[in-house]
Amino acid sequence: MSTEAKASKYWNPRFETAGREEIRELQLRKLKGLVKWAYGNSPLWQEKFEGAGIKPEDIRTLDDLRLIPFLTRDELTQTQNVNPPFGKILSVPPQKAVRYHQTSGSSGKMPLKILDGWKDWEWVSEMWCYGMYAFGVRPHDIVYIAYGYGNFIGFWGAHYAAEKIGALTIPSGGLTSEDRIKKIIDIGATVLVCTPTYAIRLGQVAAEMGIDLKSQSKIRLLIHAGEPGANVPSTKRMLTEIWGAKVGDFPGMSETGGSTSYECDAQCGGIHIIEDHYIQEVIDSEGRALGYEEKGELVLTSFGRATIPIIRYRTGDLVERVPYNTCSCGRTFDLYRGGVLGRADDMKIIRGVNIFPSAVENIVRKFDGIVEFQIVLFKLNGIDQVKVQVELKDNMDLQSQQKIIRNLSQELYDANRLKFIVEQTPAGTLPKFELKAKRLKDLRDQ
Amino acid sequence: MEGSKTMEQKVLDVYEILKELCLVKENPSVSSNARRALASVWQIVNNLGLEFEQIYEYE
Repeated sequence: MSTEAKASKYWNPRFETAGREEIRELQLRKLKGLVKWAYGNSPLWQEKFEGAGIKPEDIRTLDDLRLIPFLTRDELTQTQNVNPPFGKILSVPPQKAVRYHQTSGSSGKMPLKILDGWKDWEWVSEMWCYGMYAFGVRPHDIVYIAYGYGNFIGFWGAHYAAEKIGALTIPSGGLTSEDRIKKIIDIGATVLVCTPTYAIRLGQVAAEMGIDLKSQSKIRLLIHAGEPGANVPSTKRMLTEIWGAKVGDFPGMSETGGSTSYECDAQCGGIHIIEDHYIQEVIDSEGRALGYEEKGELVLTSFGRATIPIIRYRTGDLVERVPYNTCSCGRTFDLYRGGVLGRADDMKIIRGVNIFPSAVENIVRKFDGIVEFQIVLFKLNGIDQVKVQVELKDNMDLQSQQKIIRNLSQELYDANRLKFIVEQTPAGTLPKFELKAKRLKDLRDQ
Repeated sequence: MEGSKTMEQKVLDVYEILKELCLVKENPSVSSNARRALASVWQIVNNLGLEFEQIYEYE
């Protein structure tokens, strides 16, 4: 009698369930290899090491990681400005690359140009596989990628990961939202991949078309990345109600290429760090290491793409690390509670109060009648003010509209102890986003 | 005997064979497809913690 091996629920059971000590040993082995590679092949890293007075052989333990200077976005931008197009960070001749991408430019900074060789590009999709498989994507799924497929790396990795898992994968570049909705239903797609903002937008367009996505589509999983949203509780709830699907958060960044962490199907309220492919640190504003349950800035060292070695890269993302056994899934990868909590540079100070756009979103998204919103900071008689502009659903009576405005204003005040001006705008006036939303306008310097 | 090899040893054998095929000059369909296959097998080798190296010289 033969017994078939049962498919694992982990993409890479070898290390997703390894002992913590074994993971650390692997990380050290990879770190030594990466450091030797970066020093020997990337002129920028050689300069940084020599500037810090260290050589690769000085990295003997994981604690020695702190000897390596941080890498920042400004350094990457500067080196590409001074030594165009790819800067002195590049560790291989450009001819070795088979893929070109650039960052989205949503931060307002000059886009970074990124090259990948074959191994790097396969690794990018491999990181997505960790997450998509953990969330439940399987070969029988039909995965719909709602994204423009341009220079921005976006969901290219998710596309190839879905194919690698064995799912039927449907690209949808160049289509309108209406066309995408029709195709999602016609083809029987079971997984939707897009930004959370766009999943909300598709919900709004579907409603205008008279389509109830919850009952008429077969979408059972929403895979989100590119911006906070899937980790904002109210937004997650809203998306679950629109689509009748589980909503997952899969942060990543163009600089590393792949996902850096993922939400598993246990949905414990956190995201697992891919610890066999990254060393991830959390630091305070002085650069000191923080421990579990302390909020700080995420710093990444990536063992994947090596064309642009990413070692101790200061991401500007705020996270709070918790131990692996916070989740019941059996993985031994630690987590970030609540996902990426915000960006250090997203935080605004209004009359001494720290305001995070994602926290405002969490309150705004509690109100089903709000279609879209925007946060505007401005000065009135020299004093900072914060206004939340909201666009409400069309068919609302005046009393319901006023109730939303009143209640939203009260909830924002209660949460922040700061008066927010809440202003209703006419339908269709606020921008709608297909990719990352830009919902904050800071006009205080104007 | 082939049948007695572990999964890990089989992966490493394929990995080394693909490296050789990447260097075949007289047939681009061999070397190009081997390069893609090597990139995939690198993921297996890396995921199992068998080897961690850069392979740009084969790309």
